[in-house]
Amino acid sequence: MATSTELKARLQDSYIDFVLTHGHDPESVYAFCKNLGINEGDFYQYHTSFAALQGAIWRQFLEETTARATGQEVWNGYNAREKTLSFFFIFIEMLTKRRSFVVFSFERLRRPETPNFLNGLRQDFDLFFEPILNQAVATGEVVERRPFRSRYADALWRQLVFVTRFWIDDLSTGFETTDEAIEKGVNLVFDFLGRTPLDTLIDYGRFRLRNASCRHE
Amino acid sequence: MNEQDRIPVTKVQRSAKILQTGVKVGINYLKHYSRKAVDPSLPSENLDRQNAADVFDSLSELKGSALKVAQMLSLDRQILPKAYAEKFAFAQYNAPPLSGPLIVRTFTRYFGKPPHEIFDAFDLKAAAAASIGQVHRATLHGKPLAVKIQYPGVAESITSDLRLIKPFALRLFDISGRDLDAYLAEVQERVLEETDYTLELKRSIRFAEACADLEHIAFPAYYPELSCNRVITMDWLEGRHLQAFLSTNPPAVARNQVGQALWDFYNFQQHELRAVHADPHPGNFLVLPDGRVGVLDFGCIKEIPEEFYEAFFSLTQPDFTEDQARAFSAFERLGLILATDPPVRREFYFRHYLEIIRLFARPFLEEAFDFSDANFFSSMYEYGERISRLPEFKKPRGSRHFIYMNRTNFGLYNILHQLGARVRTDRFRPQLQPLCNGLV
Repeated sequence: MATSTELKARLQDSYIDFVLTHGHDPESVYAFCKNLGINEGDFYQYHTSFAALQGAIWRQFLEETTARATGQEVWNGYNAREKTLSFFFIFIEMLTKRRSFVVFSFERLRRPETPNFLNGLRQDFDLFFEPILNQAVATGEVVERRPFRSRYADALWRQLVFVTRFWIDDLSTGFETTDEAIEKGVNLVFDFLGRTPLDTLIDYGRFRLRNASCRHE
Repeated sequence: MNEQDRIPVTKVQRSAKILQTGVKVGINYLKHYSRKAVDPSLPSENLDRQNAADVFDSLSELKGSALKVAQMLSLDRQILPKAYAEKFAFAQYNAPPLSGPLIVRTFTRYFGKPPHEIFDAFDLKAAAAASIGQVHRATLHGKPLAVKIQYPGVAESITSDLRLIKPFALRLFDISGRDLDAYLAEVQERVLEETDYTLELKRSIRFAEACADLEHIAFPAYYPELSCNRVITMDWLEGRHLQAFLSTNPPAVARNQVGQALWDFYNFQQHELRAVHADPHPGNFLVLPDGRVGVLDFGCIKEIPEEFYEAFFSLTQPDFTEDQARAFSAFERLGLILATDPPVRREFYFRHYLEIIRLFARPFLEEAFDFSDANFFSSMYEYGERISRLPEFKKPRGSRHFIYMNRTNFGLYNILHQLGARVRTDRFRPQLQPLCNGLV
């Protein structure tokens, strides 16, 4: 009898194999399970639909990424910016192993929206980055701007979706241009999250406002 | 973000890319100024200098390659090595530093393992900047190593930089597109070669072998098994850069020895190998504790074609002025005097080029030459000043091979001048009979 993790992996692998070979989802969960020689009920133990299965595959990518990232010897020595960069590079390495599937998933989207198979991933992503961002705020690497603080993970998430799309269209050898996109994009986000002239400007504006009102009232 | 979604393929998209590069320059400025507003202690030398300089220098802030072309094309006008060598030094250290994770990524891509699993120790912080990447310190089996890592996308950005420079150069030098293309092709070839670390590794090993018998010159050992397209691993040479060496006020004997080693190194290559390390940037040399000169970078090699060599160095022979017709023909072969020039102009160019070649050849005509001679350099300086004001020299002239030959030789003279070295110049003289054992 197969263990649950084995079955989970088997479901994922077979699904990927099916969609890449046929170019579409299996006709039904029933047909898919019959082909695998398992009960339809076993499938529903893990996933409610093919869409959910697809989402699970993406979450798996993220899980492997975070496991590999945090398992690195250098991980604890990294600051938030470097942790983010490292996460992005490893994420793309993970995707590279399954490139056909990733390209397929994006290609069958009708509109260039954030794909819903990434929804589950988004939660895991936020969970992973929240402590990293908190730490960055504590060390002063990132500035806490009250109304926007909750959007910081958003900015990183959008980078991740952008980088993934960029990588899908990347024609350079070894996807080196994607490496550049990651390096420049993540640095840009962190440059903005760090203290910028805008902060100084706002601070100055407040000061002027305060003093102006002092004089006139 | 949408405009960056795909790699530009069509012509329209490519010109958009050029615009984008222009925008990047602006952003760089903006970033610098905004950071500075927050932290006034930030060094602003870069920008100060730049503000004083012309349009080329503003391009240089972004990437070295566009500047390189500009400087090389204006070589005829500012032949003075001092001014341009300084700008060169400045242009080279502009690459944005690679992040630690990107280095790990590069290693896992090419070696399947992160650097910490390949080396006993690896410092993720760069020890020094190289022209298109950076150098890291590592240890393996107790041996200190230098690991040079290239920035990804350098080759692509060089190509787009060169496209960017073209419209500027066309206007500034009033040169035809075709003439300019020949120069641009030469620079692009060399600069792209510099991004090919596999080629550089091969050349480094070959040149180190060929030059092994030269006195007081040292090369690091290279490790092909720890190198790839983007990474070169070699021994870590412990020593001082030329500037640091000079700041210790070394005695004349020591300076002369360093100068002699460099003279021998360059002239051995030019005249015996007919291929030369064409990047005499002071940062590429280290003075080792035992006084030998360590050579670091074989990224830029200029192979000297026979026709060019023969014409160029025939002009450095002691008797060349006696035979005017011969000298004239050499100038023609070098493209310095054109068949289309009217007779008066031919005479004019002959006179002016003769003057600089005479200066250039002086070290070759004596047994020893004192490069501390300020007169020698101020004559060159004065010459450069003078011709930069002559409209006849506005357009770059001469064979494309001059670009790197000038850079090499005037660069060498400049270093020797900085060293204030007196060197024996009767070794490794130009050889005009054809060579049978050339390298490369």
